[in-house]
Amino acid sequence: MVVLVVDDEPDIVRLLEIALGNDFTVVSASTGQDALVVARRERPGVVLMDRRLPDGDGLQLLEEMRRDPITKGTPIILVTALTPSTPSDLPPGVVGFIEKPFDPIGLPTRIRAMLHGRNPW
Amino acid sequence: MVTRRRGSGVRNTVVRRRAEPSDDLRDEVAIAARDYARALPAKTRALAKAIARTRIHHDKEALAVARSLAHRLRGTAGCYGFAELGVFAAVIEDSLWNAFSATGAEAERRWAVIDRALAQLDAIVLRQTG
Repeated sequence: MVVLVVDDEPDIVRLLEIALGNDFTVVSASTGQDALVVARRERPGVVLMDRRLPDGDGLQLLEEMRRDPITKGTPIILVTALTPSTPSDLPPGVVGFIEKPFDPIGLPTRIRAMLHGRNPW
Repeated sequence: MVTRRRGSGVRNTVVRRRAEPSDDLRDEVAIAARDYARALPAKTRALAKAIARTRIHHDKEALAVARSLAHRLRGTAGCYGFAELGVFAAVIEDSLWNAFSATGAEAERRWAVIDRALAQLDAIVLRQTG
């Protein structure tokens, strides 16, 4: 499965590439606009998205992806320091949150659990 | 492991990475953490410089740079095992706007909070990099 990492912080991208690289194919984009292009081309199984992007809020990208017929069904995991307190606070299309700082070890297991709707945190 | 890069620089870069099962994840994380630690003195120096420019020249652009640098440290340090560093970076990020906006004794008090956090950052970085 392809995982698209959307983050403009190279240190985070590197860590996610390491953490996920054994289990998934990792592609990355550093802006929301890049992410849309890559998502249309690569058809990722999940997008790991920073809430703050250099060209806007991650939630704007989320809305754009929802409007695009190619990307609208792609599950999103937000990587953020701001986590909601209950699952009902999850924006539509968001299947989980990875809170910063995160432990890179065990991340693939967490992501699989989120994709199966087992645990959004 | 195959890494393919398109474009140059960090922005607008797409990376594809196919890993091999033989990768030792913990070793790779440890290597990345060492690289991160090596880059820390430059990061904290840049932050201190931006803070000084913000304070001395009351420069709003420098404030944005300082907040961004502190935010980046806050978001990354803990992931690389430097949780304490992230905590002090958070103090700086959260205090900068208030210090910038305050005047007189209140401003001095708020800048002192940032100075103390910055000193703590320096001490941690010195400990990590020897």
